[in-house]
Amino acid sequence: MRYVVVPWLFLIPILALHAFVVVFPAAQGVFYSFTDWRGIGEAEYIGLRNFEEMLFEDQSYRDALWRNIQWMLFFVTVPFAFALFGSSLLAKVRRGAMFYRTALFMPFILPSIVTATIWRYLYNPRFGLPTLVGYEKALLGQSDTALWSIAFADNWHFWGFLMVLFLTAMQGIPPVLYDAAKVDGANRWQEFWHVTLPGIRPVVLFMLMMVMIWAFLVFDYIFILTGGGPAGATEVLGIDIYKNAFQRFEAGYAAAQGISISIFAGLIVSAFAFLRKRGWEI
Amino acid sequence: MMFKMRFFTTVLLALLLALMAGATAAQDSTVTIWAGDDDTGACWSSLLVDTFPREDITIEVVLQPGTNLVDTQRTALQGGAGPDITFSHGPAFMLELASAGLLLNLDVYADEYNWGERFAPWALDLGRVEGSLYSLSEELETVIMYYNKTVFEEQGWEIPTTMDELYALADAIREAGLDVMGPAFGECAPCVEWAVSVFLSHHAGPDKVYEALTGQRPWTDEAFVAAITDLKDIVQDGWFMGSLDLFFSDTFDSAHALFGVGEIAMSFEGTWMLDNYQRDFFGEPAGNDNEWDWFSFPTTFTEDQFFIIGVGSSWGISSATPNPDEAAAVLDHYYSTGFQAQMFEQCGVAPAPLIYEGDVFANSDPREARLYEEFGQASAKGNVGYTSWSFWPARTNVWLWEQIVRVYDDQLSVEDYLAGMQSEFEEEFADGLIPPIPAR
Repeated sequence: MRYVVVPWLFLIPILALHAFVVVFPAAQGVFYSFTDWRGIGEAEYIGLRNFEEMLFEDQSYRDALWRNIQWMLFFVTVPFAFALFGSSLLAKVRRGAMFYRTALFMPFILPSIVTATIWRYLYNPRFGLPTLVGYEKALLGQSDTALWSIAFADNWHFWGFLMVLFLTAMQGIPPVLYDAAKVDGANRWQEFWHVTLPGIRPVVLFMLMMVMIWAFLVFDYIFILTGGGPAGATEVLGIDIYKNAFQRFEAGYAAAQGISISIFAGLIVSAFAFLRKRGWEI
Repeated sequence: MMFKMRFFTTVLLALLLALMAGATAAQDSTVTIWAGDDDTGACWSSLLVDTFPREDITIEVVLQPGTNLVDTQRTALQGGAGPDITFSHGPAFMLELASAGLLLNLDVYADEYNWGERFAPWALDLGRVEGSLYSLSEELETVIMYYNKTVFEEQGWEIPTTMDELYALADAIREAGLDVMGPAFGECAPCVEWAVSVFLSHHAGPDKVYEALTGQRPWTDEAFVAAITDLKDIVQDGWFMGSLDLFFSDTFDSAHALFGVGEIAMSFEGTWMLDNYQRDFFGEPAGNDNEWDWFSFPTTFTEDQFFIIGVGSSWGISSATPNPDEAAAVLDHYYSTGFQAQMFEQCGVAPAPLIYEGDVFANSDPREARLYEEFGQASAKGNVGYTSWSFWPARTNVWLWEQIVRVYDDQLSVEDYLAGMQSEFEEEFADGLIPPIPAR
C-alpha cells in the first residue's frame, strides 16, 4: 500500500500546479468557446454559434489557416534540410567543432524581439540585404513576399536548434555501421541515406511532429515584423485570435479559434501515434 | 507562573499589534496607479506624486514593463485586481469596462469637483455611458501636417490651404526629387486609421460623419466613397514614403529621420509627435540645421483651420477600489490645468481636453502653444471632425483600419470596404456600443 501512496504524495504538488496553470485555464477556454464573452464581464452561453461562424462564415479564419499550413510546409522542409545538411557536415568536424555548434545555435537563444528587429533592418530596401542585389522593394511590404520573408527570418533563428538535436542523435550511431558501409564501398551520400538517416529517424520524426504543431502556434515573429500585414498577407491564426480577443472584444470567439488549434495539434499527434502503432520508430 | 505571565504578555502584545495593524489598514488611504516603465511614464507619474497637494493620501505608482499596459490592466481588472485608477485607449474601450461593471460611476465626483466647468463639453460627454460619467478623457489629439520648414523655404513652397493646392504641392515636391510625406506603418497596423479619419472628416465633411456615427446616414454614402477613393489614390500613388511597399513596411523612426534631413518634405502625424520632432529629429540632437513647423490638413469645404478631435486615452476609477474618494481626489489633481500644463511641458504628454485660460502654455515651444490655441479657436467655430479611435465602436474601428490596407492593395473595392463598415456598425449600433458622439 505504501508503495502505491507515497509516489502519489510526491506527485501532488506538481499535479496541483499543473491543474492550476494548465488544466483549469484550458477548461475555462473550452467553456468560453461556447459563449459570447467579450473578454470582460459576464459570458452568455450560445452553444455552437462560435464554431459555426468559424467554419462556415469567417473567411479570415480560413485565410489564416491556409497561411499556417504554408508556414508548416516551409518549416517541415527548409529548416530540416538546413539542419540535416549542417549536422552531417559538422559531425565530421573535429577542430573548432564546439565553436561552430555554438555559433549556429546562438540565434536560437536570442529573444525573438532581437532577431526580428535585426531582420527588419536586414530587409530594409534602402540599406539592407536587398540593395546588395539591386532589389529596391520592401520584402516585408509586399503581399506576395512578406510571409516567406518572415519565415526565412524565423528559420534563421530556428534551424541551429534542429541541427544540434540531429548532431546529438548522430553521435549515438555506432561507428561500426559507418565502417561496414565503407567496406561495402558506400559514398558519403549513401552513408547518409543508409546509415545516418535511419540512425536519427526517431529524432527527426519527433521533431517533424513538434514543428507541425508549432506551426499553428506561430505569433511572435509575425506580430513584431508585420503585425499581420501588409493587407492581411501574414495574418495567421495566432494574429487573428489576438485581434479577436483584444481588439474586437470577441474573446469567446477567439477561445473557439484557440480550441481549433488544439484540435489540429491533437490530429497531428494522433497521426504520429497511428504510424507508431504501425511500426514506425517514433 | 513566570511562564504563564510571559505567555499572556506575549498574547496581549500580539493582540495589540494586530489591532494596530487593523486600524492602520482601515485608515490606509493609498491610491494605486499604473504607468508604463519608460521615460514618459516615469516622468508624469513622479510629477503627479510630487505635485499632489494632499498629505493624507498616498499615491503608489507601479511602473509596469511591456508595451501593452492596457491589455495587462484589463486582465487584472477582470480578475478583481489592478490599480485603483485605471485607464484604456479611449471612450470605446472604457465603455466596455463600464458595461462590465468594472468602473465606478463618477457623477458624484463630477459635481463635487465641478468637472463640468473644467472640461471641454464634448470631452466630458465622451466618458458617459447611458447618461452617467464613467471616464475622463486624456491627451487631446489631432492629426496635422508637419513640414520641413527649411526645405519649404529653400524651395519657395507655400502652405496649402485647399486640397487642390495640396495636390499641386505634392507634384512640386516630387519634381524636386523628394518624397511627399511620411510616415510608414510597418510597426503599427492600426495607425493607418489616422488617414481614414482625416479623409472622412476633411473630405466628406464632419456633418456627414456625425450623421453616420449617429445612425442617420449609411457609411456607403457617395461622399464617403469619394473620400476613400481619393485617399486610396494618393496612397497608391506613393505619396507616403514614395511607394506602397515602404508605406506598409518601413518604421516610424526611419520615416521621421528622412523627414528631419529633408528627404521627405512633410509628415502626416499626430500631435503626439510635437515634442519628439524637436527632441529627436531636428536641429542639434539630430545633427542637422533644419526646422519644422505644422499646418492643418486642408479640407474640401473651408480654407479655415480644421481638425479632427480625439483623445489618446481615458481614465476612470476601478469599481473594486477600497478608496474611491481618495482616487477621485487624485484624478481631480491630475485633471487640473496647472498639472496638465506642467506634464505637457516637462514630460511631453499632450494635455487633456480642458478649457485652458490665460498663458498656461507660456513655457512651451511656440509651435506647440500655437497648435492648442488654434485648435481651441477651430473648436469654438465647430471646425472639428472625428477621430476613429475615439468615436468609432470597437469592432467597426478594427474593420476601418484592418480592411483599408486591403483597399490600398486592391484586394477590396472602396464600395465593399464601406459596406463592410456599415455592416459592422449596424450590429454595434443595435447593441448600444457607440461611444457618445458630441452634437454639432
